[in-house]
This record gives sequence, structure tokens and C-alpha cells, in this order.
Amino acid sequence: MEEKKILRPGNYEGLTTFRPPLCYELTGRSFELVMDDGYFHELNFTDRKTLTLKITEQPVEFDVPGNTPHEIPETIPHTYSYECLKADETTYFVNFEEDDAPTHTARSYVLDLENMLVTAVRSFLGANPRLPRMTTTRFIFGAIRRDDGTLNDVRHGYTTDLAGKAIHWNYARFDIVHVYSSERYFRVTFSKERIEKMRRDFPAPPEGFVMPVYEDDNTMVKIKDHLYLVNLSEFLLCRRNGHGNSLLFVMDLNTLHDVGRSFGTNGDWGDENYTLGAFGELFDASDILAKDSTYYIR
Amino acid sequence: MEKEKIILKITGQEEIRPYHIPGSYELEGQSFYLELPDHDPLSLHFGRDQVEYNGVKVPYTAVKCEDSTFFAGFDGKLLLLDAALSRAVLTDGSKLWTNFDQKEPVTAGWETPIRFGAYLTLDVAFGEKEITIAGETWPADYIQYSDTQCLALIASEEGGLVLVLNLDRFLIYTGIGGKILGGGFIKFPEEE
Repeated sequence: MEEKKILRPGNYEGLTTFRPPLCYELTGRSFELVMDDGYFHELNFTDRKTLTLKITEQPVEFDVPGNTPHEIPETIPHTYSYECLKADETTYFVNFEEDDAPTHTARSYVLDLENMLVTAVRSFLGANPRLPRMTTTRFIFGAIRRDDGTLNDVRHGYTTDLAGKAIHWNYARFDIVHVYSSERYFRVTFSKERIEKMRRDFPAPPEGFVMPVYEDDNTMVKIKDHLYLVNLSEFLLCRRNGHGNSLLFVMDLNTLHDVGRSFGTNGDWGDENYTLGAFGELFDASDILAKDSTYYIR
Repeated sequence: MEKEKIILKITGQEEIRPYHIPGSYELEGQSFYLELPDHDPLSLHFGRDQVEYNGVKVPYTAVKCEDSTFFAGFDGKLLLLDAALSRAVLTDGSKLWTNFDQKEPVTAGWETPIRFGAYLTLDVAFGEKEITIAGETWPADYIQYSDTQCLALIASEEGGLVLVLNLDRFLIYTGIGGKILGGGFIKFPEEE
């Protein structure tokens, strides 16, 4: 009998096989980001691989008691190696390692050039004394200054739109169902095929064993209609094995395609910060949604 | 499934849409002069939404397939362009022209499911001069333009479906009749 021909893709790290080619459209462009934490972020994409970031204080806006006007300190731009992926025609996901930060730190920007809005995300290790390899992730919203100097008043913002939805994401070597069980938590399940394979590969659990619902921390931000920024933080995994990553995705619910990055610790206890991509399909997870949470009090 | 129905599904003309890939503007401002054997020379100057094609401006769309490789559609034609090498594959839906140094197609004899859209997975079998999708066979032309990149033209009455296969990442891109349809992925082979 003739043997079946098998072609195999190249070897790519973790979830990177389906990552789209890097986008160089921002090369040569500069943006002034007016962030709501009171700082300007000046982003300058000097070439296909390098950007500079200069962060300076914004001047005091209101003359209120206790505010002492002061000279804004001069800051210097920092140079970083970045990667950029397109989330849709006018939305760019930019990610880089802050290699001059005291701990392993990732900074990401979602630049929404349709609405001239930005969401900045910073993840870092070391904030948790008991679990030093647990990631901490902070979001800052802001606006991108338009050519005429004006700013959009609205912002990207936290949303409940995804609560109750589930998507089966395929990353080539790995597929998983993310069930967005509420605006704060996500659950994990797998496709029928994956569960059957797991049952084939692993011995049957003891009689009476009930598989717990895996549930963990989730932050959801609406970028625009159909486009969402989601951060999954693996607190529960960290409590079990000592490291918990931040998985950040910009997902398009119309096209069921996402781009993003994984940040934290890899399987060899090294630092991890890489960009990724996946294809999805909506998934009926009503049985998972109907179950009581096992790990978190509701 | 009938032949016509298969093409309608892949091209998204019937309820199921292929995975949309965000368009790329990276060709904006770039010009190319391509000499393709058996074809008139091609002069291209890309703007943001229009390409000046042998002196005539027409709308175009493009997606980025690899670091310097773009798949563009305009004026009833599809162009797979390596912008760094100025090498390309051009088709009008019936025939392929290329100035790539071609390699032996690695797909001949390969069968795999391909996900063309969120709810459309079809079995595809690649031959030497044909392609079988969901059990139906069409004549096909292949151009293997690098070790891991291949373009297949399916000569069909519906206008010539083009599949661009990135066998390094197992990604695909589709187009028909001068339009980029979208992308998808090749099912990853089970680990031994």
C-alpha cells in the first residue's frame, strides 16, 4: 500500500505558527499618545524593527488647592525592538520588551487609527512576593493626537459584550476553547475531538472523579464594534506550578481571527514574550457556562 | 457536493465567508517593472487604494503573505508579488505567468483538510495537474515559487480560483476574479 504523503510546517515557538507576517506599515510614523494616567507617550517608529518611546508628564490641568505647579522634567527617549501585527485594516497591535526595566516587562499598544484612540497594556513580573513569576497587567486608555492637534473625547473601555460567548481558537499545534464566562473570568474547555484525543492519550480518571471547571482572571476591553482586547491572566496555574502568564489578544468577532502576545515564563523557566495569531469559530459552551465556579467565589 | 456549490462556498458567495485577512498598505508608494515570459511587461505603481497598471489607475486590494510577499487583486487579475526580489506570479484566471525560478511542486500526492472559513473545512487532494476538493476534481496549474510557498490555480468556469499555500506556517490565502477573498489554514498533522 502506498504511504500517505505528510507535509509538516516549520518549527515555531509556542502559539506562533499562525501568526501573520509582521506589519511594517508604521515605519517612519510618529504618534503622540495622550494617556489618561497623566503622561504623554511619544512613539516614533524609526524603522521596521525599532521604535523610540518618550514618556513625559502632562501639565496640571486644574488649579486646585494642593497642586503645586512645577517644571516638567525633561525625559529621554528609550529605544526598543518592536513587533507589529494588524488586527484590522486600521488597528495595529504593537508589542515590545522593555529591556531596560528592572524586571521582565512587556509593553503593548493597540493603536486604533480609525478613531484615533489607544489602549496601552503593561505586563511585568515581580509584583507578587509569594509568586514572583506571576504576571501583573495594567491597562491605560488614551487618545492619539490628530494632525490638527485635536483629541477624541471617547475612549476604548471595559465591556461586558463578550460575557456568555465562547470561541474555539486554533493555534496549529494547539487548540482551546475560551469561554468568556463573565466580564471578569474566563473558563477553558476543549473541542469534542480534542477531549476524545485526551481520553485516548491519558488513562481514565478514577471512578467518581469530576473534572473541575478551570476558571481564571479576564479583562475585556472594547476597541470598536466587533474588535475586542482581552487579557487572560493565569493566576490559578501560578498557584499550582509557580508561573502564570499574561495572554493578550486583539480579537475580531466578525472575522474570528486574533493577534496578540504571550508574556511571562516559558516551560524552561526562561522569560517569554512573543507575538501570536489564531483562527477561531464560535462554540456552544452552554454546558460549561451552566456549571458552578469551582475556584472563585461568586 | 456539486462543483459549483464548492466554489460558491469557498468564495463566500453562499452563506459561509472565508476568513478575512486585514488588507495591507505596505505596497503604497512602491513601483515595479515586471517582465514575465510570454506576457507583456508590467509596470505597477501602488498607491493606498489604487494601482497604476501600465498607465491606468485601477482599485486594488492586497494582503501580506510573508515578510516581503504580497497577494494583490486588481482589474480581474491576481498577482503574487515578492516585493524584495521583484518576482511575481500573475493570473487572469485562466493562465499563469511567472518570472520565479520554479521548483518541483511539493504538494503533489498530498491530501489534507483545509479550513477556508470559520465553518468551512474541506478535504483537498493535490495532484500534478489537478486538484480535488470535497471529492470533486478540477484541472489545476501549480507554481512552486520557493521551498515552502506554492500557488495553485484552479481553472474553473467560475473564474479561476487561486490558492496561495504557505507550507511553512500552514496558512492559505484565496482569491478569484481579481479579488482577494481571505485566508485560512491547513489542518495541522496529528503528532505521531
